[in-house]
Amino acid sequence: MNEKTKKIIDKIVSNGARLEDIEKFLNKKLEEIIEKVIRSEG
Amino acid sequence: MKARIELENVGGIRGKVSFEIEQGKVNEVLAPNAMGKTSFVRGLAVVLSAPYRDEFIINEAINLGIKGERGSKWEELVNIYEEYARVVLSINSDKREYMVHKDGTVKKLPFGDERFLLAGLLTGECRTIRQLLTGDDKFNWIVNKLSLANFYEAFYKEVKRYKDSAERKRAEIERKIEIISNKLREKEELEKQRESISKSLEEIKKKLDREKQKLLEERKALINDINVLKEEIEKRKGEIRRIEKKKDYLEKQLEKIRNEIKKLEKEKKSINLEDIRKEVEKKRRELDDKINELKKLRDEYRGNVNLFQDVLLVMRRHKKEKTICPACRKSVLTIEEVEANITEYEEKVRQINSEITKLNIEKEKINQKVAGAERKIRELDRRIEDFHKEMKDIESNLRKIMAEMPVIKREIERNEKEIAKKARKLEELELKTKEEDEALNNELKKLERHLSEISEKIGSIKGFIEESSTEKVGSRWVDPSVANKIYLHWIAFLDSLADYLRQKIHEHREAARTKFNQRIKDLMIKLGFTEFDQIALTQDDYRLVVFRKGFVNQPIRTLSMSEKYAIATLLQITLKETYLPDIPFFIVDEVILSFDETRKKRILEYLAEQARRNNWFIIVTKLAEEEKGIVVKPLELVG
Repeated sequence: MNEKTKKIIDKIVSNGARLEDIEKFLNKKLEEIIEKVIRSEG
Repeated sequence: MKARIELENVGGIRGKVSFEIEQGKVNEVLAPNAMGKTSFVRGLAVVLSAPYRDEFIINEAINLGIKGERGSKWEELVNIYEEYARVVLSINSDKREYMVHKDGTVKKLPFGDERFLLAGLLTGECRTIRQLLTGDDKFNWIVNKLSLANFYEAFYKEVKRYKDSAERKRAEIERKIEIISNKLREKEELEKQRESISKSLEEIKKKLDREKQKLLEERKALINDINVLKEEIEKRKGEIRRIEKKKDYLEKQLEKIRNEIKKLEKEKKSINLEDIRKEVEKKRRELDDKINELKKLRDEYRGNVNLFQDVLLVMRRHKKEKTICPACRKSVLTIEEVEANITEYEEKVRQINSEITKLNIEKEKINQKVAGAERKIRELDRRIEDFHKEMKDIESNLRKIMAEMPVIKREIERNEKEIAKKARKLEELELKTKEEDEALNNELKKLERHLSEISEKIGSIKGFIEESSTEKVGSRWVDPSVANKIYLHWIAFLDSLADYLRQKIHEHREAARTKFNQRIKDLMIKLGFTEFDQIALTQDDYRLVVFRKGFVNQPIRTLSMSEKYAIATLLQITLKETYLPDIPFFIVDEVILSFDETRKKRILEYLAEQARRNNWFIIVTKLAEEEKGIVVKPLELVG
């Protein structure tokens, strides 16, 4: 996990770790992984 | 600066009341018993802390009476006579409003900090006091729920939930992939079976066609043979009919010839040649007699002609007119008469000649009659002979054709036997064909049914594969194998995230513990709690330990009531300072009133100093029998 992601996590936590923020972050990460895998699969 | 709080139907308060609280000061909430001090505290607490997400804090809210029990149909915060409760807190332009219906439905929700319920209150019902009173030393909630560890924990739990869900989904996908793989193998197997059955079907069909063709050819050959034989028989029968007809004809001819012969014989017999000859002889004699008589007469008349011609000649020579009749010698005749007599006699001669000629003709005719009869007899004989000859020929022919008949009949018989034999063979062949056809058709039907079943299964598998060929991951539909890879990456990411969060949780817990221990130590000194050497949270399990003078560990449960309240006060102020410095509210009820005046004063002075330094609103409730309702006013510390 890179530093940028860690910073985002820390920011979410410092904002009260609101569920919608966590979900938004995780869903965004999932979409990034999906894109990455689909690209690698060609 | 002042904050304004409006309370409407909150707890014991019915209707709307509002109060002003001064910032940077300790504000006293004065009221006699049952006038709404607790409701004031609960109203302020809820507007600062709601909403609640953490189960531990939800339980705390229930314990504090600011949230209804789980499953309860009555929200405790709402006045029992009213439908809703409402709290509005305004600090300058910042306004927070909390409104809840009595069935628990929250209509308006501020964005508070739920930790306020753990660290913003020093009341008789707060967590710390409840726990100390029961002797429970497990204070791990301090580092877990108040530090950022709590939020990291919340994050971690969410990540864990995502990971569990991802693992479940991945397991499902793997199962699905395995099922698809099995289905594909099954499909492949079924396709092989289908191919094999199709081949078998094709072979059976070909065999059936070959058999049919062979049987058809055999049948055709047999039918052809039978037909040829039948034709032969018919031909032979035709021959027999022709021979019979010929025989009839010949027999009729024979009969006819026989009749003809009979007729001819009869005719021949009817010709009596002797009688004819006799009759002819007799007639000839008669004719000869007549002719002779006529010849005599003719000679006589010729003599007369000659006589008269001589007379005439004489007369003419002598030119005599008359003369005696030379015939009768009596009468006198003239020349003319003589001439007339000559003519007359000549005529008579002629007549007789004519008569003789006629008679000769008749005689000739009579002679001819015999010859004719003889000729006729000869003719008849010849014809009879011809007929006999012909009869012989016919009889010979008849014998000949009659001799052919048995041969032909035998041939017909042989052919009929051959036809019967061939017909039996044909019948056997047809039976065999039928049986073989039936057997092959049954096999064919069985295979076709099997093939249909397999095709159905393949179709169902294809449908299943088609149906299972895509998987929704996030916002995308992808192939299950891709989904599996995504989930692998996703789980790996969530694992690394969880690791990071666990690490942060630990870090924050430790930092919180260290900070807490340090602050409580400082606070003990500031507030002069000299009876204790140390109050701290232990490492790892975060138990609260109290060390009396000489660093003697005293179990919580063995502390006196006032000691427990003292420790609770230290803990709550430390918690507030350590974890909620940014929330400018701290609520204290009559807990500190049980302390001796010096300690009470010292605590209040400390709180006043903190309020002033941090611009906090510190609220202290106090029983005031003389008041008629709730009165909020800044606390004035004397000396």
